[in-house]
Order: sequence, then C-alpha cells, then structure tokens
Amino acid sequence: MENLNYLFAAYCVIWTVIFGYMFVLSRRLKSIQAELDALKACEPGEGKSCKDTCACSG
Amino acid sequence: MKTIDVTVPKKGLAVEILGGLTFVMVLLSLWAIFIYVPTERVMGIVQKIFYYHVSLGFNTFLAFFIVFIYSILYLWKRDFYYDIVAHAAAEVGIVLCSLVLITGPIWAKPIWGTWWTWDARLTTTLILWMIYIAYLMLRSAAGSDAQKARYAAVFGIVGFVDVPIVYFSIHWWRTIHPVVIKASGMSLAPEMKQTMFISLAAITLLHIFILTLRVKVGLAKHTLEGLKIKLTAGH
Repeated sequence: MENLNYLFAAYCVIWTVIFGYMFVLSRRLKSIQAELDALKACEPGEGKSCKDTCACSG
Repeated sequence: MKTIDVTVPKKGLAVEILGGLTFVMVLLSLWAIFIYVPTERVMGIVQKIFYYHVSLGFNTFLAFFIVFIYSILYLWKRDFYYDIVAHAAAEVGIVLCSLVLITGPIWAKPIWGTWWTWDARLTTTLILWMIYIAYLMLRSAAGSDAQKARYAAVFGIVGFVDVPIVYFSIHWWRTIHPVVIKASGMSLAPEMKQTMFISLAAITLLHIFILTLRVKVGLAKHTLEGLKIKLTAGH
C-alpha cells in the first residue's frame, strides 16, 4: 500500500474539481433563470410594470 | 447575421437518462479501479491513477475537437448557437485539461521522482492548456458579440493544431512518458484493458453531461442578453 496518499490525492482532486465546477454551473444557471423570469414579466402583454420587478430597474 | 431566439430548455427526459447512466458508469468505474483490477507489479497502487488520467486526456482532445468543429460551423453558418457550443466545449476542455495536468504530476512524483519535467508530452499538453486559456481571454477582451464569436472561431480552429502534436509527441520525440497505444494495439493486461474502457465510458458520459449543462447556461445567457436589448429598445 505504498504511495496510497498519492492515489487518494489524485482522486480527491478529480472529484472536488468536477463537483465544484458542476455546482458553479448550476448556480450560474439558476441565477440567469431567475433574472430571465423577472425580465419576462416586464415584456409587453405580461400585464406587469417594469417598476414591479427589481431586475428591470437597471 | 443570424441570431437565435431560444427559450432555455427545461430538464428533459434525455438529460435525466444521461445523468442516471453517467452515475451508474462512474460507480462501475470506481468499483473496477479500486476492487476489480489487480495492482500493477512495478508501479504499485499509484498506477490506478492511470485509468482516469488517460480518460480525462482523451476527453480533453474530444472537447477541443468539438470547439474545432463548432468554430467551423459558426464561420460557415453565422449562427450563434454554434458559437455558444464552441465556447462551452472550450471551458469544459480547460477543466478536463487542468485535471490531466494535475493528476499527471501526482502520478509522476512517486514513479519518476519529480513532479514535473520538460518532457515533450508534458510540455505540449501545458501549451494546449495555455492556448485555450488564451481563447477564453480573447473572448472576454473582444468587442461586440459577432466580433467575439468570429475571432474565437478562428482561434478555436488554429488552436486545435496542437492536439495532434500532443498525441504524437511521444512518438516524434524521445520521452519518458508511458506509451499505452502502440501500432500493435494496447499493451495492457485484459482486466486493465476492461477497466480502461469502463473508465473511458464513464468520463466520456460525465463530459457530455457537464457540456450539456454548460451549453444550457450559454443559451440562457444569450436569451437574457437578447431580452435585455429588446426591453431597452422598447422603452
């Protein structure tokens, strides 16, 4: 079982990076989706004023 | 200039099946690596890094090949969808290439006695990583969306030249990097070969799953920007 620490380190790095990247992507998607939903409410015909949603104020 | 008017795709059945299949294959690959395959006689247990290291390397090439193909498609069709996929594949490719560059030295230290050496395979892989980092930097620096996509597409095509150089570097130059795939085939024991193919399938599925997610982010961002322009023009 010599060099077990190297094997452990390699697989730890692989899964940390992969899960970390997937987590970042999910958060990015969620935040864009939220902004998109807020802006869609401002579109003509949606019956809401842009003043009702903070996303439209910028 | 064609643009796309997309609604962000919802999580479909295909993505759920892909996710489930990826999960099963990853578990199977870990079982094969840590339980099924025998420990290599010379290098010992640290050789088990090989199965994911090679699979990640193959998928790095695949990701940059997708960049290459979709960059050609963008320049030909001028449709932003192709640019979004090329951008997504480049980003995922960099993550995979980074993992190759990290796991390689972790394997090399106990075997070669050093973390890094300026060997042909290692050096060309590092250059490949730098090329696609430059690709992302170019994207953030260029002007309008169309200009950004055009410059990136040209860079994505030219940058791919390094991929065959990385692959053939171990044949063209004197190297200490192991040569697994030879003209005569794969020089591996049957159990090792099976584990290699299971790992390759698992990482390829994982790659496709992550790329699907990243493309979805790109499409959502594109839709958001389009909507912002539409609303600003309407006010």
